[in-house]
Amino acid sequence: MAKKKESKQKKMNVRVDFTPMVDMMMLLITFFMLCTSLAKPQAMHLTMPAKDENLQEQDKDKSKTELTVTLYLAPEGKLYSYIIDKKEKFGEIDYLEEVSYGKEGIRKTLASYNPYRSNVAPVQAIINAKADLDGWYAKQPSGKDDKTMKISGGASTGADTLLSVNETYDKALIMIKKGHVDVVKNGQKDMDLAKFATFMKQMRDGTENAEDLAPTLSVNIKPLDDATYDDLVKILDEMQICCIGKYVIAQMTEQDYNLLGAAKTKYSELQKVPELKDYPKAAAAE
Amino acid sequence: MAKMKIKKNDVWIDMTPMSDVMVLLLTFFMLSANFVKNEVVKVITPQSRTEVKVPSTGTLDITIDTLGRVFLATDKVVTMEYALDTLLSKEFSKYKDKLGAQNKELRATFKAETQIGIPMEQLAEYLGKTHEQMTHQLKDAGLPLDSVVEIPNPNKESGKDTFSEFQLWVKAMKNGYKKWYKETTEDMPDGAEKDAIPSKLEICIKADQNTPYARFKKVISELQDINESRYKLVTQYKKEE
Repeated sequence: MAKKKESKQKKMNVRVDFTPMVDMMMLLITFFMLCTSLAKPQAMHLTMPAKDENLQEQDKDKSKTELTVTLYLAPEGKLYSYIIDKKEKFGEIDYLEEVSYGKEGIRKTLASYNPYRSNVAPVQAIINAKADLDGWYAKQPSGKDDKTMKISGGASTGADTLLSVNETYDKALIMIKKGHVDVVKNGQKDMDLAKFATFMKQMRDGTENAEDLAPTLSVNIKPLDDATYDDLVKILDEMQICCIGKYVIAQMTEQDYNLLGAAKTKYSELQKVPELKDYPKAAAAE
Repeated sequence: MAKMKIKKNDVWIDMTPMSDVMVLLLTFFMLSANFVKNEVVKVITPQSRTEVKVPSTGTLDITIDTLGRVFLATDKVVTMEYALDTLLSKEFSKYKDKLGAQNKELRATFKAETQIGIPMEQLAEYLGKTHEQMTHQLKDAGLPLDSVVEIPNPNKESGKDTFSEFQLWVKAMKNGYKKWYKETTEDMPDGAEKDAIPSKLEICIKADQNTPYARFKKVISELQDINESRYKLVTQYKKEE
């Protein structure tokens, strides 16, 4: 009997009570759960042009073409697109249309806009090219920051450039946005590295041939003062989804106010925005 | 006797697996989470599908709330202090007695601040208040965008440059960061450690989704005036529709 007791005591000694440990852990976890956030915010790059009056005057003339889309961001989540299919028609109110935000709205409008009646609309062609580029990127083995890609420097210079997969991807995306849609093999989720090398050299030397470039759309984003910041971010996001390289956040001009005001009769929804008529014209000249 | 023994054994629950799980969870949280900054003015940022993360260090956060009030924040306290000193030595020298380095208590309170949003005029008074009063006041404040501070500039026709307090703060913060960067990296050998420190303060604009565009435009235009034209807009990630 006495012996039994002894052995029992030994057994008890081996066991460590973990309950206080668990208590402490619980406390720590609660602390971390309450005081930290898991979701890291995302950053959207935005570069505004430097303030230069002369430059804007020049751009204004250039922007009035069939490859330019103007988007008016109005209050209460309203969005108007102004797309003219011929240069001469600038200023006609019939081309002002209300569109909605999102996949079925503005994205569809942009992706299907085809001023030259080509097989594939300009924006769609670029979206397709980016999908091919993404396909190529997904196929690459890991270690995407290692400089493993050998880009031939061409016959004249001969020097090869070493690029990492990530750098190549970024460069190719810039090319696609510029209109070099043939840098990818159409529909094959693959990239044409020979063409990539040629385009890279051309871009560096400034010897790009404008005829090689696919037409690209440029977008004028014109938010009204009462539009929300959310609307602006939504549109900027849409620019990224549609791979539009050329877009600018522009000021509303008097012409724009007139256009929206004149269309008021045609688009009765606009009348629900009482502020519209109150917009001071002086603000436009700002 | 035998029965008693069994009962005793039953009461004992083995906590070891439980504590194993806890340790795992704790490690997960410690590694993956980042601390929430105790910001007085909070905004709900809009959603976007961008996949670029906001850098965790070297950012100058410009918060714009729904009413267009502007607050500045940065993760480096040193930068804030340098900025304050720069402002006190030049543009706001008349507040030097009140806010200078000799006022240790005020400076300690200032260092503990997470957001800057009080006009310089009221800053000394504000820093002397209790924490609750401060929180209350900051919520209704914001850096002045229109207040004009004139700085003599002989090169200009009018003989002076005009800035708003907000612009001066942004400039001072940028310079403060540059100074801190120089001091920190001076003795550092070249390598990954040095490269990990951003050499410039990046402007991150954190505006509420309901902020009217006009307010955002105002801030952007003031930034453009001081030749800051690259920004990061802070958004929340949204999955593809």
